[in-house]
Amino acid sequence: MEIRIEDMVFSYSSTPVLDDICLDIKEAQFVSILGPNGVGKSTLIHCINKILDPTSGKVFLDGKNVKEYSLKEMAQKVGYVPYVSSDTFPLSVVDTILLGRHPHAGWKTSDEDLEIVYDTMTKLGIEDLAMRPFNELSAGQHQKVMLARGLVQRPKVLLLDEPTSNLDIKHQLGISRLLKHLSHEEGILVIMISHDLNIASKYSDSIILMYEGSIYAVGTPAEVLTKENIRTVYGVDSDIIDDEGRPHLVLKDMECDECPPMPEGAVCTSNL
Amino acid sequence: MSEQATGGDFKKEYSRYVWFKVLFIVTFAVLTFLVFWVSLCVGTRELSVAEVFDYFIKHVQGVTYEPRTQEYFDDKIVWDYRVPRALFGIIAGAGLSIAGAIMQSVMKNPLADPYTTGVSSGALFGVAIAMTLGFSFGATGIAGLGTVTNAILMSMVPVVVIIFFSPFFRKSPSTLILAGVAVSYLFNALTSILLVTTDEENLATVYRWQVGSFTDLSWGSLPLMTIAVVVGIAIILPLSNKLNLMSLDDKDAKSLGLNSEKLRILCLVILSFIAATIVSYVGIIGFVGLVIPHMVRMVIGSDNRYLIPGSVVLGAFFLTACDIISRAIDVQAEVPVGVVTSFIGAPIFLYLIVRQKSGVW
Repeated sequence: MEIRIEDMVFSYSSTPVLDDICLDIKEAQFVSILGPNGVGKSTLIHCINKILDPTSGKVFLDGKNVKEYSLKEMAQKVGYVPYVSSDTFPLSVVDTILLGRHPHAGWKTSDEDLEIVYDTMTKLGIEDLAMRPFNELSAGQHQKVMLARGLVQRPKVLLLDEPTSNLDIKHQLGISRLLKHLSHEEGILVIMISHDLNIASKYSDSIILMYEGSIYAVGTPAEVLTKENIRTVYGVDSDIIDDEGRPHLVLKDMECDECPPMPEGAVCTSNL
Repeated sequence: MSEQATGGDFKKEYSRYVWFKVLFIVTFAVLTFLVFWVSLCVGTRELSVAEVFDYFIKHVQGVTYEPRTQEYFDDKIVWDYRVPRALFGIIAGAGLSIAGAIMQSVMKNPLADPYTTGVSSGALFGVAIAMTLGFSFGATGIAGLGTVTNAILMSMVPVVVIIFFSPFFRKSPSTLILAGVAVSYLFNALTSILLVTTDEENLATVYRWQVGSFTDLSWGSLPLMTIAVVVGIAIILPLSNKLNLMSLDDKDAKSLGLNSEKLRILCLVILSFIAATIVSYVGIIGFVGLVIPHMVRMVIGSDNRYLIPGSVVLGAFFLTACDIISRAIDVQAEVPVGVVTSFIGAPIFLYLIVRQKSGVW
């Protein structure tokens, strides 16, 4: 599975969002897209799976222009895990995940669909939520259900919009590990938008760093996550520590060094 | 489910969960069938279920009676008045609630139904034109084909407005609803103008029709509406799994292979046909379209594959039962069925909302 983007431009009415994007992603791997808010990360992945049409330029999936894919063909190849999902009329967790089988299945839920759903729920450790209504779950559980929905699509490419943002640290690691496993063992090209630079650095094979609507740097975590790049793109100073061959960021906040000291007597106690 | 649960247990649990939904649908289908026979018994002429059943079967077999005998009149009462009326209740109830269920799913809005989106106001205006100005495409009068055509044409106006303007609304479902509400106010104002300027006799007719009455129904009222409802159900049921995707974000739906915009337009057109034909025969029967789908959601959930048939059977049962009650209260005066649906449905619905611990939507 490979993705090639050629000279892509995207504008919402007259506001340009993405400018002259060229990108080549080959082979199954774990790619993270990083960059400040509003830089066009979500727009970029929406252009890959046809949710949005680029204003100009071309996107190729396996050498074929995405315009030539039907929505259904696209959904069979590319899974998408959104950041939030609306729940006007919530279904049970099983039925929500079963929606991910839509590109492959008919009206009736087959035994195979149920098996795939059950396996995926077990993998994510949410099988005990199966019959619960989707709207009664916590934000983190929501996120896992949506990830499950994307996984049961059995895609060749999996696009994720901040899949770990609502998870506790243990589950952040768990899900990131799972994504890496999917890309290395099951041959899925995983592309994740993230704001957690350290998670991205720890697990990704490649990182795409975006800045002002274009791609600022592409490469391995060590190549992309440098002091200079972080300062330019995010406007934040940092120290980079080596963590088993991968960069680990320690953020600096010069302004806070001038913060007033803690007011006297400010304590936090508990009678436990 | 316990932690040791296996895939087999999971499948069993899931099929139990599906069976419960199927059971709900079958139960209300049976209840609707029963209530149909009860409906044939209620009226000025008291007949037992056995007698009614006997007359019904004999009529189907083609037995005729000596004119002006008791049997002759009884047969006429049962076959020419009560059977079409009961059938009408079943079909209109099914039609109104399926229209409501589709509208809610398509618009992703629990408040959507043909009345809150202008479709019924449009139909009402069409009928008012036919009755007060005598202007229509065909024969006028209640249940005249011209009146129905007027109703359908006018009910299409909000739909066309919604579809035509939707690119400007960025296709957001809530703006679509707002547009519907605006159009609906416009139509209500126009209808009011017509009613203010018309004579007393017309006013009384339109008014009685407006509150939803089953009084003037005959066999002639059935075919067009039946076609609209049956065809509508036949198109929507196979699409009901796609309606589930529609309650997601349009973007999410697209990533799962569904073009929401196209399906939304198709559904809107279908439900306008259903709502307009029903409205043109019996006027505004409030409550059924809005609330029956919610009742079904509370019991069996929002999976459209079961919600749609569930709404069909519960709506059919509810409207027929309300018609029986309207006649049982006072056979002569005949409280309009629209009044009964609201009087009975509103408290039940309020009770369900209060009892519901967690939000359903």
